[in-house]
Amino acid sequence: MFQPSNRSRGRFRARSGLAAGALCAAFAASPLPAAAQSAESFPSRPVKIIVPYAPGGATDIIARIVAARLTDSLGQSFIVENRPGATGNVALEAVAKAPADGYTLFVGNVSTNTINENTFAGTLTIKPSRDLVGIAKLVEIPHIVGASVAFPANSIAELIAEAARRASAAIPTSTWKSSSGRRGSS
Amino acid sequence: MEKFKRAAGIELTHVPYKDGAAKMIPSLLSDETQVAFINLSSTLPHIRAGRMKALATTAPARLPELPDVPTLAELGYAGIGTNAWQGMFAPAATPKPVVDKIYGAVATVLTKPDLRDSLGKQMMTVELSKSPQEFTALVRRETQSWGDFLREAKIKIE
Repeated sequence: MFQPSNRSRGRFRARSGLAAGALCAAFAASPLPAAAQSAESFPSRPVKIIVPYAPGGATDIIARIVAARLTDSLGQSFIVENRPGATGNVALEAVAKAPADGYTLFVGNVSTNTINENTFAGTLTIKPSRDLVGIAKLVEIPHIVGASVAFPANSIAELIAEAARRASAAIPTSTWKSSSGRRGSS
Repeated sequence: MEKFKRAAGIELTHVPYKDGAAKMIPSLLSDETQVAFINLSSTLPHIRAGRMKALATTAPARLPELPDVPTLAELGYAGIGTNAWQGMFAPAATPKPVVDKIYGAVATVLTKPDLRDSLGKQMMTVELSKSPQEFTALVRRETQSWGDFLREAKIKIE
C-alpha cells in the first residue's frame, strides 16, 4: 500500500526521504521510532531484577541464575534486588511504579502474580495482571504435601484419617500459597 | 491446601507464613507446623536427610527423586496444586521491542543444556513461554480462575 502509484509520486517520495535523512543527520537523531531505538541499544546500563522475597527461596534462586546468565550474554549487569514484605506486595508495587524502560524487571511466581491480586484486592494498590507485562514463564517446580517427622501420618490416607480423628483445628498447617488461606481455624 | 482440604473433606488449621518457603521449612523441621504444601526444590535435601516427610507430590507423574511418593493425581486429587511457576515481568508500558529483546535473551540462556541440567538438580523444570504475549495471557487467565475459586470457597484475608 505504500507503493508509489506513478513516477512523479515516486520521485517526490525519494526526495522527501532524502530530506528526512538530512534533517535527522542535522539533529543527530535516528530515523527509528524511539521504542525500536531503545531496544537496539538495550541494555546500555545495569538492569535491576526485583524479587519479592528474602534471599534463599526458589524464586530468588531462579532470579539469580537467570540474572547471572543475562549478565554474561548481554554484557550489562543484571542485579537482583530482594524486596520482601506484605507477601510480595511491596515488590509488586515497586516494579509497577518503576520507569517502563526495561531497566526494572521482576521475577515472581504464581502466588505473587495471580493470587495476591485476588486476596489483597483491598490493600494492593496495583493489579499485577494489568500493570505488569509478562516476559516469560521461566520454570515450573513440583510441590509436595510435606509433613514433619513427628507427625503420625505417613500417607495422604493417614493424613485424612488423622485430621478426622483430631476433628477440626487440631493440625497446624501452612501452605506454599500462604496468601490464599484464611488465618486461624478454617 | 484449600483445594486439597475441600477435595478431601477435612479440616486443617491454616497458619500463614508471609515470607514463603524460607519461613515454612524451619517451622516444619521443628514440628511447629505439621503439614504443608511446599515446593520440592526447597525441601528435597530435608526429605533425603529424613528431617521431613513427603506424603504426596503435585507432579503429573512420580518423580525419579521420590519414586515411592505417590502423586496427588493418582490418589484421586487431580488438578490440585499444579502449575506452580516462576516468571519474569516488567512494568506494563515497557516498549514491546524491549520486552521482545529481553524475552529473546532469556530464551537463549534458558534453553542451554547445562542450565537445564543444573536447574533440574534443584527440581526446577525449564518451561519457557512461547512468547511474552502467551505468558501475559496465561497470567490473566490464572488470575481470573484464582479469583473465581477464592470467591466460591469464600476465602478472605483478615
